[in-house]
Amino acid sequence: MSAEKTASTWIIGYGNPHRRDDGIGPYVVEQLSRDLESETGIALRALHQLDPVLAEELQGAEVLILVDATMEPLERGLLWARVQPEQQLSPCGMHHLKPSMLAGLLESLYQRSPTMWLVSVQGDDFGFGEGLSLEAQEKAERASSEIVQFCLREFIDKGH
Amino acid sequence: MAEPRKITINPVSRVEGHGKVVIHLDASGEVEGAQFHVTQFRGYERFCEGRPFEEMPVITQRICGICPVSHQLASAKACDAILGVKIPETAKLLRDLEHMGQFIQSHALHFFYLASPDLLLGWDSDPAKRNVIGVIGAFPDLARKGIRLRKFGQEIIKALGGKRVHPAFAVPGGVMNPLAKEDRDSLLAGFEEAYETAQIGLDFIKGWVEKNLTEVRRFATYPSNYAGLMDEKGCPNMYDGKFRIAGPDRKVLAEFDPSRYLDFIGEHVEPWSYLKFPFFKARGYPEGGYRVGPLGRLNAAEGMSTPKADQAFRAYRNLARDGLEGSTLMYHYTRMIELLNCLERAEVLFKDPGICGKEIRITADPSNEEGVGVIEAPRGILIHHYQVDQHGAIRKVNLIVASGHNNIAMNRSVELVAKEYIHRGEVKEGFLNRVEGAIRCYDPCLSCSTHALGQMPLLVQIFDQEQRLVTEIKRD
Repeated sequence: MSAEKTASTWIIGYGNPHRRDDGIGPYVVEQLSRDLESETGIALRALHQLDPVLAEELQGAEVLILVDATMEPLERGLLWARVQPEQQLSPCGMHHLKPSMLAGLLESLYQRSPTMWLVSVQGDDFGFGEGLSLEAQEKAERASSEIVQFCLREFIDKGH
Repeated sequence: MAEPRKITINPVSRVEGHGKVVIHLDASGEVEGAQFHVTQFRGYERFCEGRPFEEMPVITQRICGICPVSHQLASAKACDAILGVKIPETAKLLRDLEHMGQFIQSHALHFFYLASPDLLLGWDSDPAKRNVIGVIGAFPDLARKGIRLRKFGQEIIKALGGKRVHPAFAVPGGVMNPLAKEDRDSLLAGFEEAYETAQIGLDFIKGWVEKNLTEVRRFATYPSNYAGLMDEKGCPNMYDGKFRIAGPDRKVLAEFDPSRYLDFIGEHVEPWSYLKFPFFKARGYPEGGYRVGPLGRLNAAEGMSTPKADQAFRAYRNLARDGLEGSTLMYHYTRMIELLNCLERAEVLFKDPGICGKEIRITADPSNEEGVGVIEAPRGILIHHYQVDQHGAIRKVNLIVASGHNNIAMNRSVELVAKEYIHRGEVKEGFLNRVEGAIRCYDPCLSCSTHALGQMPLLVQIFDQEQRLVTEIKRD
């Protein structure tokens, strides 16, 4: 992936590619790598899930865009939402985090409050298997396109 | 007079998986008994049947997200035995190194994030703040160091297997990839900070034990047997070694090749738990219960294989005597000694001239219809035992994981803590946290420990206030 050490913008797609549409996040990152990987200051990463160690690596992030699949029906098939920090972790362990918990860790551990977006993309088939359903693929490609536009508008055009 | 009643803690927090504790009080409010129920249910032993044995390291590592490397390695060793091969020396070094990365990240996670709220903030502190967020608020620098140490262990795993969790690395006959020299050099640069953090943890827990000796002595302290894999000098060997069982006085009761575990270890079943109860056959059930993991290993050992850890071990032995070695809280102390040991071992492995060698795998056709792979997982001894048909398809799987070995001990510890801290029916929140804390000491991985499907009984019993059985629901 691109130079993570100097990146101020991170785009992280997460999910399980072996459960069909749950792999929307990694798929979007793969799509974005064609358009954004050469851009300095933008780091792309595909993950199985968010975990607490990630907070340590995101200290330098000013903007963070997370991409995840959702089972919820969405009007446009995808939804951008700002993430607010949550100061509570799952009592059952430190395996994985919700985006709000990751934001909370960044704030409490490193006093960092990057602008954080969660792009939820509606999936249809979460059964065993690889590859997205056609419906999910279309939505994921639309999400990729919107993220590229967002980056161009917010960062690249402004000379970040 | 108060009526008999039952206290339920569900779920038990800050452990990996889902469990339940039930405490029975008598009419005067004293603890009559306590049980630790493992309430989640897996199916690995059964659904692996029929799969090609070569797939087992990939399938079984999915049992757990914390110790997948341990399952992968035990599985790969069982597969090596089916192939009847001795893996190349570089492959053995690399598997050992991956395992050290696993120990480092797992022990760091447990100490700094799961156990530290009780130790740093206090058993009786505000439960709303007695969690990792509370630790971050009160001790932010320590929390940051803990997260970096965990990351260091994960980076070792990633350098070998391509990712931090569920890496694709150990395979039958060796490993998938060699270690790149640039990765070796980059990771070697991280040891100074890692040692510093481990030493902070070790100094803290040593000081905590010394300051809290009264509590340490009364907290589920009891004489038990101990077990671990040992090298030829009697030091814990996490990747390989003889299976040693020591008595409460630390004298060796048995030492044997791990592949012979069935001659020495039995598995008892209780109707109220999905988790079996392994025991040392020569002592019977439940007297043959033993403790594994950091406390089990260090109490069964004669020393540590690396200098800094051995020095820390000597200090521990000076303190842990006259019965104190049986305190369940000593798990935290011994875990930190092991963390230091694993860092030292990892550094030795990185500096081994053969570590970046290219001969990493040997291929062969199966030559045995049975294979046993045994290693030390962070929580204790892990056994993978497979039987295959002439085509290499799995016929039978037996898995005994660390949290299973510790099942008798966890139940005993819960009962002892409950009896120590709950009287006249007065149950304060801090007491309940101590009951959970007794389980937490073992760092149980309940996701790992429940892997059987099919024959495990499920029994629900409802008793009236006179403890008479009213209803019984049984599923065969």
